[in-house]
Amino acid sequence: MEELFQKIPDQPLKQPEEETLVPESELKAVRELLQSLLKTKRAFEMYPANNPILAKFQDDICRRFDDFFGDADKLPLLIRQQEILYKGQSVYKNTEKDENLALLFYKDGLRELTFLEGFSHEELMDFIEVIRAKPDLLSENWDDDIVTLLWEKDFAHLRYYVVEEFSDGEALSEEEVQRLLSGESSDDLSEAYKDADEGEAKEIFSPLESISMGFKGVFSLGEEEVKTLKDEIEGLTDEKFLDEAIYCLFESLFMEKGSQDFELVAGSLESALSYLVHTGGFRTASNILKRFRELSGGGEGLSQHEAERLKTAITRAGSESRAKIIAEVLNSGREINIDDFREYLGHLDRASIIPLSNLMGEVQDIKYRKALIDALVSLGKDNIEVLAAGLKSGQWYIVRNVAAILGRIGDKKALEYLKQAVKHPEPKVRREVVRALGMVGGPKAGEILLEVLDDTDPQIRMAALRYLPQAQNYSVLDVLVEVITRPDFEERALSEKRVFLEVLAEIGQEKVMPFMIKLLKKKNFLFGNSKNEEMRVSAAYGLGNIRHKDSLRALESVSSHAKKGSALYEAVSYSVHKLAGPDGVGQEA
Amino acid sequence: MAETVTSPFKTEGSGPIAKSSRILINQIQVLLRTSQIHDIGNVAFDRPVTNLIGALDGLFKTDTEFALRCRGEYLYIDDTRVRYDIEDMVSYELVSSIMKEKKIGSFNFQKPVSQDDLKKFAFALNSFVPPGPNQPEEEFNNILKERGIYSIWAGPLEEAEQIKLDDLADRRKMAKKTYFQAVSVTRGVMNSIKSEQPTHLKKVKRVIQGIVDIILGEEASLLGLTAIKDFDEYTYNHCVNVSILAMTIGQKLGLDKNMLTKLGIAALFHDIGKVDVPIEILNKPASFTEDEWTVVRKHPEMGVKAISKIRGLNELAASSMAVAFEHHIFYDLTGYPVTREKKMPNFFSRIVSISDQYDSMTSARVYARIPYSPDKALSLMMERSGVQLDPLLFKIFANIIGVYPIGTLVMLDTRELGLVFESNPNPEKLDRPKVILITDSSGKRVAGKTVDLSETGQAGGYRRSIIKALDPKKYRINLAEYFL
Repeated sequence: MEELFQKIPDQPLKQPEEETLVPESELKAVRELLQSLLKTKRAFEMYPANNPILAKFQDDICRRFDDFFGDADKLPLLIRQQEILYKGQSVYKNTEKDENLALLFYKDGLRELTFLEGFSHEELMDFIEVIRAKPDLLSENWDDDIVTLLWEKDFAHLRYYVVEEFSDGEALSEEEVQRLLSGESSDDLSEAYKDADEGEAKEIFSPLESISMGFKGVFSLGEEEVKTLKDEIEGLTDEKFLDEAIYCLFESLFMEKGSQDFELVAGSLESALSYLVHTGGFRTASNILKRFRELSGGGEGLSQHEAERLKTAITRAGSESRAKIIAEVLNSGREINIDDFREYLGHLDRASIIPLSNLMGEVQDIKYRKALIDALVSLGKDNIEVLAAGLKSGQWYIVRNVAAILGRIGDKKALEYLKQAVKHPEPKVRREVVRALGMVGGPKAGEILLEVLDDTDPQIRMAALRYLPQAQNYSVLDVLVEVITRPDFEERALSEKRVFLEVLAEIGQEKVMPFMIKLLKKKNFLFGNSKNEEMRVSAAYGLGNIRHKDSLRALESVSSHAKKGSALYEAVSYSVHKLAGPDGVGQEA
Repeated sequence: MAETVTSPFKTEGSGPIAKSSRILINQIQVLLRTSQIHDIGNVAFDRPVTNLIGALDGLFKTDTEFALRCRGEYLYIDDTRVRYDIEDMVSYELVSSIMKEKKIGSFNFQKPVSQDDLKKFAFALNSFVPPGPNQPEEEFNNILKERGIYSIWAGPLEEAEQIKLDDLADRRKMAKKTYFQAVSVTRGVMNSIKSEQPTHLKKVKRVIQGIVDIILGEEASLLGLTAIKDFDEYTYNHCVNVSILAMTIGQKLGLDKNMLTKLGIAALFHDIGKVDVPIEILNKPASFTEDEWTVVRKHPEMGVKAISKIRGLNELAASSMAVAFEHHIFYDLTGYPVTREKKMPNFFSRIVSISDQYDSMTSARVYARIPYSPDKALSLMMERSGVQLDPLLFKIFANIIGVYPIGTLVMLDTRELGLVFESNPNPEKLDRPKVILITDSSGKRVAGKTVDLSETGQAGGYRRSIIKALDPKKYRINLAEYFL
């Protein structure tokens, strides 16, 4: 490459190198167009594809090309190492090594670029795609340069001129040509004539006979045959080739059983896996993992060591560094089949629990986050303690999701970890922890929920209350009564008071009935004590949860005195209706 | 330092124009056939004529006039070459051969073309016999006018011989340059793999892209080069030959240029596993022992490992890996390596398998210690078709190589001797290839002039026909002298 830098095209190309008279305005337009091109290229390297800033650059470069072709039918550019010429005049100059448009083209051998009228916006975007720097992610696999990419894009309105550098020299040495030619053909071919005349010569395939049969059968394809070939050609996708390559690698893996090259092939499969994840090929990637699992499970004649090797590969497939790549791929906007992604996750082992938990905090699209949560539910089942470590994450978002996952798993082992998160500073986390406690349920969960009753957030307190009945822990009654009888309890919102008393009644039933009735009947001695009134209303709703005739009777007695349309009247009517209804105590009575 | 310029050919691959072009050619073929069988009033005309009108409408969208041209072996709509799909291969070749036979270079269509015009045009063309070398297209145009057709007229066939020869010389020069660049790059890559140096595949890709450009323009020059077998270090030539043969098959199948590149690279690397086979074994003058065979038979598997080492896996490496692994697994799933899971080898692997067998059998230094003559190799392969080789792909291959394979020495009915240089793409005329003449009718050596055996004389009969085929090696004829 060094050598190439020093070379300057030894012959003038298709445009004059000497200066010709070009209007300054025309040169200015080309200069600005090239600057805009460079800026757009940079923008594409900096921003993700869906960033609105890109559109601004895109519009600018498109407009400049359109304007230019308003007056001209082609834009020929002569490329030098540090300079670009248009009609013999310099329109771009840069002596730096970086961000140098001239050098960018020059180093790959491009010496002339001519955009033709009709160069569409689509072509322009393709062109920018060609010249933009490639993401590091794939650079190690990069076998292209600007020239190979231009060729692949097959631009209709772009012509270019390239010099090739073949440092190995002209392949055929002079001596070799001489040698090839020195075996010069014999001048005397009378022998050949003799053989031909005497019938020594062969009639290949008896061509005359074949003609009489018609070549069709021998050399032509029938309709069905053409269709078969066409189907095969249509099936030639990148994905199919990758599958084929994976097949070959697995076959090779078996051939290398017991040999030291087993490691090499296993390594290739692992790097294939990594490449596939890079490119979002989760379907093929999960096939690899699936086979790794099958093989490492034994029964395929692999040695202990070999089986371990494949298990390591599975572990690495869910490692912290792989998870980072997964996040990049999922956030890139690339189309990923969600089922394939789910399948990939499904093959990972317990070592992936923490990386995947962290991934939840990085992935933007909710459908991928859901897939991660589902995967963690299944991975976490037998690994509660590992999963629960996520509750200590510094990102509240992750803590919240881990809590949700623990809730979905429903294992009581999770309670001791959830207990620690119940005081988390982020209310969204505490709410999720409460829900998780509710879903796990049981007396111990009840105890932890009681701690939430002093939470600063009434919504969370109420949520905790609503889960209490599922805990089936009667010891909570005392705590509830204690809270309700605190002097400041009345100050709480009606909605919270109502839930407290409803829950108390639901759990305590007859045990708390006298207490509830007492609350219901407690008269207002002070005119306008609305707080007390609210307690009565709440008690009325609560009594609706106690399926007992005394409860109904108490409600009915208040009902006759309550002012129609008042909150108390509403509450009492509601509960009476509930208890006297077809499923209530009315029937029993 | 060599130059490459973007291909002068613009090939339209997909899109509505390409589709209309293909329908046009297809339906002209149907129309001509129909007019050979039926009267002008027959309902059999309805479909092709309606389809043709549709195709014409598609092409008239951009202009009110266009030309269907025949240049060399290819058809163009104005200056855009029409790429054919495997399905259209037969019509494509038939239309181009009819145009050549009638000595007409183009059909120009001007809007509006009526159904009646098309039918009459077909009958006129079928019965047209070119009157001799003087402006046959004008003669045909007179006939069209007499029949009241003004929307279609013919243009001259691009005057053959002189221009074509210069052109051919240029193309051959280009082909030669590209061929040896390919050999050089292959040698470089193989050496860097052998010495475990970093391997750069950009050069490989560029050189294969260059070959694709040539193949899409005209494949004969490169195929001629594959027939020369007397190079030193034949290994690298073999790689390049297999690659060229495979890409030529791919071209006939209508693969697009990116797919052809992929195929070419995979084919070039098919024997990459041999870099790990000891050179003493590969160059052994006698037959292999059982142990040596065991080593040689490992090269597909070694190929997979070699490709893994240089590149890991990506889209490009994937097809190369499949081909390196499977090119000795046969169509009937026998061959080697013996796999656990049996499956039909990849499409590319089957193409390379055919190309590899042919080049190996016809050269002295790989596998077969005594080379077969091209025709012998082809007839052996014909027996293997459907067993070892994919029978459909073999048909395509046989079409390329021809009844008289490239490099065959032939005696003509003029008593001239010639070397077959390019097969005739028309399956009906496989016995009429292009030939480089090496002696005149008195048996005296002449400088190689290329003649097309499908050329007809004044009276309408063929100017030259093959009467016998011979093996050039037997008479010390050096192909390099003519093909290089």
